[in-house]
Amino acid sequence: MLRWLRWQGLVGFVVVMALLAGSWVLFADRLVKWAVEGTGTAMVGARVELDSADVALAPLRIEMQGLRVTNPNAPMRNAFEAGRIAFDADTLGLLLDRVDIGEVAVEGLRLNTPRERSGAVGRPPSEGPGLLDRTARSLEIPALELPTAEQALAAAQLRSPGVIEAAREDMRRQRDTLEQRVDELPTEASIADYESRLERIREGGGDLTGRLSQARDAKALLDDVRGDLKAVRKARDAARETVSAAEDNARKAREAPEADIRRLVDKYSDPATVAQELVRYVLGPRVAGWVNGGWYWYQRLAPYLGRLQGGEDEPPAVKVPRSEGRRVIFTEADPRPETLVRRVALSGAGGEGTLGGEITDIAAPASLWPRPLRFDLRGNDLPGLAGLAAQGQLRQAAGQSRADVSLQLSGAALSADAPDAGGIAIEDGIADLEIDGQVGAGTLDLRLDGRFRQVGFALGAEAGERVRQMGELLEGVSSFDLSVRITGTPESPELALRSSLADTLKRMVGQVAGQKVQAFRAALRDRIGERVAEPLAAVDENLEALRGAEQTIADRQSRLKALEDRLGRILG
Amino acid sequence: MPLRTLARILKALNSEASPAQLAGAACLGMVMGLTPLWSLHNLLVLLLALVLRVNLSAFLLVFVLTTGIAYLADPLFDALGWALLTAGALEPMWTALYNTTLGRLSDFNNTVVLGSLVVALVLCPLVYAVLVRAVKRYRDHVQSWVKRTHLYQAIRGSRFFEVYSALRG
Repeated sequence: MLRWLRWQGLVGFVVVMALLAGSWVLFADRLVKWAVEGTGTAMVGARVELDSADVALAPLRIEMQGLRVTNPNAPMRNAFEAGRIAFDADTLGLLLDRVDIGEVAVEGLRLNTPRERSGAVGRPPSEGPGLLDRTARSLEIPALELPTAEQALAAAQLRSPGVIEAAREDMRRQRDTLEQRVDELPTEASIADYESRLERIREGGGDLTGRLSQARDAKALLDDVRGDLKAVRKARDAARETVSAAEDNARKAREAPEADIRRLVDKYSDPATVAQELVRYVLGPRVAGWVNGGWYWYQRLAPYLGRLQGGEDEPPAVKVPRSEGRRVIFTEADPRPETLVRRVALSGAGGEGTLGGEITDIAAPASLWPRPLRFDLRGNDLPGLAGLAAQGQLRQAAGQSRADVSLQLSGAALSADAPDAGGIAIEDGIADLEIDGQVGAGTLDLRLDGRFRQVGFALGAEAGERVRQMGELLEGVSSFDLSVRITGTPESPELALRSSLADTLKRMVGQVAGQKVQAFRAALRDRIGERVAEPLAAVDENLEALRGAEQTIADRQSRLKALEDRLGRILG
Repeated sequence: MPLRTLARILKALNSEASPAQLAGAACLGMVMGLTPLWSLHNLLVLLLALVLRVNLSAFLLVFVLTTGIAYLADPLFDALGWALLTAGALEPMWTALYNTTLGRLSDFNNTVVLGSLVVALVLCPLVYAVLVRAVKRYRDHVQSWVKRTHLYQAIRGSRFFEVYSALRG
């Protein structure tokens, strides 16, 4: 047996293992640095850099110096920097793909610091989908005088053609279904045949045998008639419902153009509406920028923290690239998150101020940890920010997931918004902001209340007369309030924006003469009427066809009923 | 490179190693080659290859050859692993293994790891038996006949023979 063994091979094995272990020890620092920079860059979508990392093995302790995370939306600035990050970890846990860290100390934290080199990687994130991209794109400076109907319609997105088209399509489907149903009912010919049979029965009779035969035939015919009558009654009930729904649809379709007309007339002639549109134009891009910035970070980090989903079923397998297979997840006796960081203690300073706080219970998947992720960050006298207080939590459990955020910023210096060539935007100022709300699976409810001070506005190089006129008026405005509410769903958010700036702007808009408005309304009615005439006619045609089909069914029902009554009388 | 590979195969076949040593080495090389390299079971395979008196040249040669095959066969391994890991009858066993430290370290719940390991282990007895028989037949019938052929005599004076002679082991 021993002749099969090669004892020097054992030495070789030990040497190979020692070489592998030695290489790991030698290169561990560098491996950690590469892992942090590589993973961090992939997570953030902008360059993440680390000056150095130290890995101590027994017990496992990792210490990192000089972490810089680029702001993806401003690649020449770091979103934050940390002077030192240190934590202890469990070696066996790491081998088992489980990270359980009691406390991470983050020291020398600084926000929004300048960079020497751009930290952009690949495509700028601003080109990616933002929560309020659509809202920001639809913002345009409103006309300050009544345009022609053609101009207004060229700039407007009418809702009525869509409503009418949807109604027409619905009704076409309903018409096809009802007509098919009519085809399946007893035909005029078969009812006429019943009537002939009835006449023959009535002519029969005579002696006892004849009477018996008459009664038998009458009973058979009555059974046939009742069977058909049952089917026709059902069809008529369905037809009544269909026609009622179609009438409702047709009414909405007919009303839709008038709603468009009302909206456009208000948009161009109501001073309050015009002022509100101007406020959206001036403040909308900045609000969209803030919200998109926050949304970007949420979208980037959510996959690592357990994206907010409504589903209760855990995926049975984690997909990894081809040639690496898929990991099938089995039920654990003691299910625990793969990554768990119980507390991150944050401390730092910026300018003459201080910054501190903590993040607790970072778990992935979060649904396996009973406590939600919570953060609490406070700072004073920071560069460009007099005060910061941010609290929030991200909760994910089966069937219930929600992120609650509350953020207070005081004395935040506003950076310049570059105005469009022909537009106007905020140039500088100071803002006190309160943001709070919830983001859940398929729901969105965020509120932003702000007070702006020492605000200045800048005109685009090619600003026209009306923008200059607006700029002159805004020269006298140095402070205003802003209230924003974002509701709906992440896929289709609704932005409602109110500001005291609207009151100021309302004065310059003035009242458009009532006669002009009447003419504008009439012109809009003509133009929109021309556009929707054909689809509306199709809606009416479909409705008439549906009513016709219902009438056909009603006629057949009454003929069958009359037959049933006459047969009933014959049978006594 | 193919010349060198062919020379290695012939060198191993014509070496002093017994057919069992060659076949055993091929089996271990196959297991290591077909399955993902950085898997726990490959530590055991490496230990066996070094400690057991198998032919190391054959081990390395088969390892390299089967690594290439493994890449092409990954979809098959993935499908087989998935079928095994999701088979209802086996679920209690996998769940029990998943809840052990050794089970988690072995990465058995990865479809490619399990699929390729099962294929390699099933092939092992077959490959071992076929190779032992093939090496014996080669040495008994082919080797002496080859040495007598004119072609062999011609090859002895060629570049290929230089490569062959330069190989150790």
